[in-house]
Amino acid sequence: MQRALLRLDQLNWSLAGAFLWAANLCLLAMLCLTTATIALRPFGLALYWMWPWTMVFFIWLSFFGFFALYARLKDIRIDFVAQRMGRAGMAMTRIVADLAALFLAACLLAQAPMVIATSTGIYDGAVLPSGGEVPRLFLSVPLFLSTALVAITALIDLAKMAVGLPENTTLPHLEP
Amino acid sequence: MAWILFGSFLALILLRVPISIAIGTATVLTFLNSEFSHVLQIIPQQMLEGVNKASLTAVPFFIMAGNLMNASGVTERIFNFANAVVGHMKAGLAQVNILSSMIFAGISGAAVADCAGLGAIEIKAMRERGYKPDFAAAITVASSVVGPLIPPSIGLVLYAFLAQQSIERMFLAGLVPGVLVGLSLMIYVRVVAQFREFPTQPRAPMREVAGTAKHGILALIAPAIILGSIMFGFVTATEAGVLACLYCIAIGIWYRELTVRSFFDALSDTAMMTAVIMIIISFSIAMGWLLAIDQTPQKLADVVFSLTDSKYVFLALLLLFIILVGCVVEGVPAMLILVPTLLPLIDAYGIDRVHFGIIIQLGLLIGIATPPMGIGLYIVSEVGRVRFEQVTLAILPMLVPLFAALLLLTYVPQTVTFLPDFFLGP
Amino acid sequence: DTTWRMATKMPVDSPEGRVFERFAELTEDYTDGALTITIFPNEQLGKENAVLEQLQANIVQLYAEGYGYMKKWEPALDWTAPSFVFDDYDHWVRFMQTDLVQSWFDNAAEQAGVRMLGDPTRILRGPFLVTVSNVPINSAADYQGLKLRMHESTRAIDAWTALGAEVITLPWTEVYQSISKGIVEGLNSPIALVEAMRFNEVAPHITRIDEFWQSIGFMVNAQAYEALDDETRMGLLKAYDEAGAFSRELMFDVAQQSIARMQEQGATYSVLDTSPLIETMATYYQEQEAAGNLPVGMLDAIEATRDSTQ
Ligand code: NA
Ligand code: NA
Repeated sequence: MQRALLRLDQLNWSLAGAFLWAANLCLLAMLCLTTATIALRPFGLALYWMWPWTMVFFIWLSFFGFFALYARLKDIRIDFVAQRMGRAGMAMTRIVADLAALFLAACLLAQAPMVIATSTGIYDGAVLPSGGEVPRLFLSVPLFLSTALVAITALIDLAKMAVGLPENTTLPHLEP
Repeated sequence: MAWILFGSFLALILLRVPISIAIGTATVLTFLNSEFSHVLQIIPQQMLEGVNKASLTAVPFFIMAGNLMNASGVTERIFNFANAVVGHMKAGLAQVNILSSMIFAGISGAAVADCAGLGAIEIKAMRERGYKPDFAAAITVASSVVGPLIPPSIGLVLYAFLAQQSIERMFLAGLVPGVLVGLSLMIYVRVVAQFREFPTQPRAPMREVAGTAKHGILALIAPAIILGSIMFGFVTATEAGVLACLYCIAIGIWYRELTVRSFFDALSDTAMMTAVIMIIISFSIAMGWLLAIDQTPQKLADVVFSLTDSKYVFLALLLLFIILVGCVVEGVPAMLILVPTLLPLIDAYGIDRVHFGIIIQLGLLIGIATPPMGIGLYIVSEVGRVRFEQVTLAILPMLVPLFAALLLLTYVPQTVTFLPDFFLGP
Repeated sequence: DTTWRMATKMPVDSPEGRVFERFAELTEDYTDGALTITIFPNEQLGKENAVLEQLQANIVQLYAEGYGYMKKWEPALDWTAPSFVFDDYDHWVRFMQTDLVQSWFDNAAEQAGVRMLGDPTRILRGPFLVTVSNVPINSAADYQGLKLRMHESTRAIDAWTALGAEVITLPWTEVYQSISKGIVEGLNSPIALVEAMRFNEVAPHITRIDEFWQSIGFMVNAQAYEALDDETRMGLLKAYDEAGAFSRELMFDVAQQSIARMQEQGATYSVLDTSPLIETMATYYQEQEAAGNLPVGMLDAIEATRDSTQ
């Protein structure tokens, strides 16, 4: 049981790495697009789709990053109160943090069908090579994907706790 | 409603809930306790609204510039140069620490890059010379406060967007206050050095000053390039951020210090810091929607107006309020919720929006140096290996010059508005 | 008694904001207080797509904005204001009243439960369009190679590219700076916004072009609308109609005064002969129709509503 959970945790950690890379690539794309915009300007060249695409990458960067920062523990956590309360405090707050993440994720995911049904239309100017423009729906997809994975991460941690495994820490013990 | 929001948020972060989850959960709880509990789809919808903001695309690049400076050795050159210039003064390395932050601030837009990158070098050097680690860590946090005042600045980009001011105006407005805060800390260190023994070092020979300047000059002229290119040049704020990044990459390659590995590390750090900020922003925008549709700002304005009609009394109340909020809520979410709420009041009392922007920016920034939400304290206690409580105690007296600067900026508005009015007209 | 939330993009003290305020007052009057309207200005509740979704969910009951944004429900609604095809304002109004355009609105209402309050051309926006540029525009030929700022609409970009301009897309808030730095030479704007955005400081040549006419549609949640009793609904429509008349008076007044002020400060103002542009666009739109890029029947409806007495 413990071994299976650890394996699962490691998988989740790697998946968070993939999302981190997705966020990195979005950032890199923003950097390149804006650089190109500046570089082309003296030649009087301006490709109108560059700016809308920069915005799309910016949105994706934020939403892909949500899961990555949660699972890879890049978010800010205040632990001096918990540490004051000793082991019991750390255990109690571990449960609270996981439950809060689960509650939030459940509330957001419950809205996914509604959001999918109502976000019709396109993102103006973000043209696709195949013609047409990026559907608005695609903007929120990474958010719901990340939210679902945040929930899974919290569940894994609760399961780990149940079988007596310690929580992950910011130390890169899982990094290859 | 405000009680549920602030109460649950505070309780959650103190219970070790990650800040993005905490603000999201607090937002959902507040929605569930409002008349809009049946339309939670507003939350993901407004989250998308929150990150779909053109002016905020400058945020990642001003973070990245700071991270790239750390990755490409620019930070060390800044430190060496500052050391050659002010290292011989009483409590020299403490002065170096402050001056380095002021120079670093000219490229970086985030205080965290200062604490984490520059802070590591500064604290290490100060420990080696025999400074007490808690003092070294504390002055590092206190001096990082100038970072987001001196342009570029993520907080000011955010404020410009919220208060519909131009980014260049806000950037110009932050310059003098940033320098004043730096000077107030330098004066503080000079005064303390009168009463306490600090390690000293000899004055650097002119040759050394010139030598470090030669290497440091590339970092020193960068701020002028960035601010200048926005002000007089051909770029938007976002593009200026990109220029700053390209500049740091070029320097890193020139000095052969930037490797592919360190570049991608800086990229990853930036992506994660940006995601944290943007997720916080996205939940705050959802919260802001609820405050707006509930007409909370108007209700608050009515209450405050019944208290006082004096602008100066109001400013005092405002300062107190901002500081208290800054102590318990991180800068970005605090600004996102406070600015739209307070703007009607600011206008009604006839306070200049640019002036208010700098007041709230510095007021909330002081929060990075105060517990329990002092991000800066957490970072330096980690990079400097000092106990959190020790840094907290050591920083308390340093809050005096910071508050003094804040009071000066609040009651002498010209310190803020003179420069932007001079260059851009009133 | 009912309270409706009405979302707008505009500040309270703008001319459009004053029209909305008048509308809210009149509604209160004419419905004897049965319907109160609370206005949420300045995009407080979000941008277009977000507010339309709130309108759909009956969180917001009224949205006063360009109905072109309803293209997310009926793509043809992107085509209520094609560039340089109408002889004059009345021609456009006749086109808007055709069964074809009504069927577009009906389709949107069926899909999203959002319909128009009254005649959608009643409340003017603009009230007319101008090119603001740092080089004079004396004839249609001056658009050849002009670096013209455009918003991120593929349709507008294609049209102005066809007219010969060198189109550059920029966010609205960056236009002032971009003109002063020579990134663009001009932009198209409703006359009402030119002085407010201080564009005349950097681009002193103002040319009326009547590229198309704009109005502000009052988009209303159909369910909320039907829930009103007949008397209240009559009062609401009467208030809307009167707000329309007020908007006409106010917008032209404000525009005249603004032009006079800007001229005093050194701006030039002229009205462009757009017939060469209309000719170019006629060919362009025929090609577009042949390629299947236009709503079916649109060009026919435009022709059919042309005033034959001219
Ligand atoms: Na800075
Ligand atoms: Na420092």
